[in-house]
Amino acid sequence: MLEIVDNGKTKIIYTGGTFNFEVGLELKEKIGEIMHHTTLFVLSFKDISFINSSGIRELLDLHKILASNGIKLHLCDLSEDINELFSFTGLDNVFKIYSDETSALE
Amino acid sequence: MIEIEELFDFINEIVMVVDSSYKIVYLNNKCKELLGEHSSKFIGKKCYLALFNKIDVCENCQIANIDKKQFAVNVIHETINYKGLRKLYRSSFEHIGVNFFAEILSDITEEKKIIDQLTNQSKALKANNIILNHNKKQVEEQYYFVKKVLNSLNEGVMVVNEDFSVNVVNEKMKEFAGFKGDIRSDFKCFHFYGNEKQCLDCPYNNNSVRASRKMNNRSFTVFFNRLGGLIVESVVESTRVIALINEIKQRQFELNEKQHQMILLNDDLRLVNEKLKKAQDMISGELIQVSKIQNSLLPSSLPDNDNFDFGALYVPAEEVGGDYYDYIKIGPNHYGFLVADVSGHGIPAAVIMAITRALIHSYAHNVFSSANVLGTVNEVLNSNIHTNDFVTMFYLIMDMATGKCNFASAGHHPLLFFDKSEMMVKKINAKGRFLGIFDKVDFEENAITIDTGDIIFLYTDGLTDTMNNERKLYGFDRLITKLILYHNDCCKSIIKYIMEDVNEFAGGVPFEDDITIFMIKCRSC
Repeated sequence: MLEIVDNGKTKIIYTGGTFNFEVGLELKEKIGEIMHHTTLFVLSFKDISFINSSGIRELLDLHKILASNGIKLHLCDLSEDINELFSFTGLDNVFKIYSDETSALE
Repeated sequence: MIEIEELFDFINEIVMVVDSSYKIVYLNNKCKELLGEHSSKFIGKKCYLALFNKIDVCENCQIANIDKKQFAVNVIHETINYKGLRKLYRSSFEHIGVNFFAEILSDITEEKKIIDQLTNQSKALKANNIILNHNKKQVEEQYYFVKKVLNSLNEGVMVVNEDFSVNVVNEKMKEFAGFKGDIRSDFKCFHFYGNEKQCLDCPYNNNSVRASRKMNNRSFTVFFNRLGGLIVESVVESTRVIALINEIKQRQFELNEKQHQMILLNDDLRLVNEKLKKAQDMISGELIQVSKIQNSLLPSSLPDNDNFDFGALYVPAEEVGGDYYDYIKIGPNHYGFLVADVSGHGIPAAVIMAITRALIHSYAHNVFSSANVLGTVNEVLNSNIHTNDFVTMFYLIMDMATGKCNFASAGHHPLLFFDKSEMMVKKINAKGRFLGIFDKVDFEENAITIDTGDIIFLYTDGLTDTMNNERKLYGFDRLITKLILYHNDCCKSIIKYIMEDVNEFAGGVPFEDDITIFMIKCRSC
């Protein structure tokens, strides 16, 4: 289940559990509907316990779509395991990753 | 004079002469009817006492008036005769000489009786008249009440006489038939129904109790009831009911049509299903073919080396998987070992896996830098894969003579290295992004040396990310524990024990991802 907090040009998205293909697809569709007039999306990993390779693929695709529209995507509150995964896959250089929501919004 | 007096005895009235002191001077014998005795007995007596049994002058006596030369009126005396019967007399007075007065009394008892009788009869008649009027009013009120009730009914009511003339009809009935005002006297019941003669199903003919009629293009149901010799007809509009019945019939027809269409559709669906099943069978057959091809792309055997023991496992989650392991002899003493994971599953993943394998086999020979190999493979893949799919890969090059290894990772899970000397497992990795997504990736290259008893354990994330029914991950800790526990065994056995543990952990939950393991154990280096 996706929860979106709309702060006008900035939107914060919360989801939980496993970030897999289905979650990634739903996220892409939802963001596709509301991305106009938005300059920054913050995706909170606070309740995401695990991300699989299909989830990463969708996340990369989302990153590509937003970047081509000049919209920023910030990730925050990544768990230790997911942080490690982003590190050894080099994704920490692809995505802007923040320790918490406040710093992700700045 | 005497003769004249006797003459008075024969007249029908009492003749009396009194003086001014009311003493009777003369009285004819007619007084016998009143007094019962001869008149002579009353001469010299007061008139009011003798005739009327009063002790004083009668209140309506006219003698005083006559004496005063006033006009005398006739008066009525009421008295009781000698038999005790009530008598009425009309008296007229005359002044017949100085101090003498004549009073002539006519018996009007019978006349009065007749008058009273007539008066009473008149009163009775009058009373009867009032009662009759009252009854009439009541009947009229009842009539208006009944009429009002009849007119307030929502159904038409008509009472018909035996000659078909209309006895009573309410407003609703007239409204149904489109009539206004009073009904003509020659109007017959069948005229309401637009007929010129008796209706065919008239209840006077066949004792029917119900019939259908048409008025003003509207349909009605008529109920007949007999009331003595009359017929009471209750008329209810059935247009809506008929319309409803027609609608129900129409709906039923439509439903039948739909049912028929559904049957046809079901037949079509069955045919489509059969076709789909055939297509599915075909696809399944093709998938099996792809799976066979894919398996044929995996090494059919493992390197045969006295110093090293190898082990490998590939478990696809579906018919066709996205994992891949391989080894390539790249030089006289060098081997390249790799495990890779294509994002996604099925035929697209299998195709990408086949391309990746072809690329590795094309570029790995005589290239002893793992990072360079991955760099080249990435460039070619990136310019050929235009989907969002990517490949993670761990590529390790080993000098079989010295046990020296260099390795690079394209976003793959870390290598697990069991260091026998320290009796511990280390997670070793090198930085590098996925293959096929990014342009010009710099892959980090790291090195290790394998000694006797050491184990290099390569795997895909399907192993560590195996989930149980509580959605918990198998993870590294459990895997590392097993590696340490079984490090003395051969690679094949270690893989067997690990997979037994993974299956136990999963508790029957099907694997969501492919699992691949490639192991190298140094027997003696």
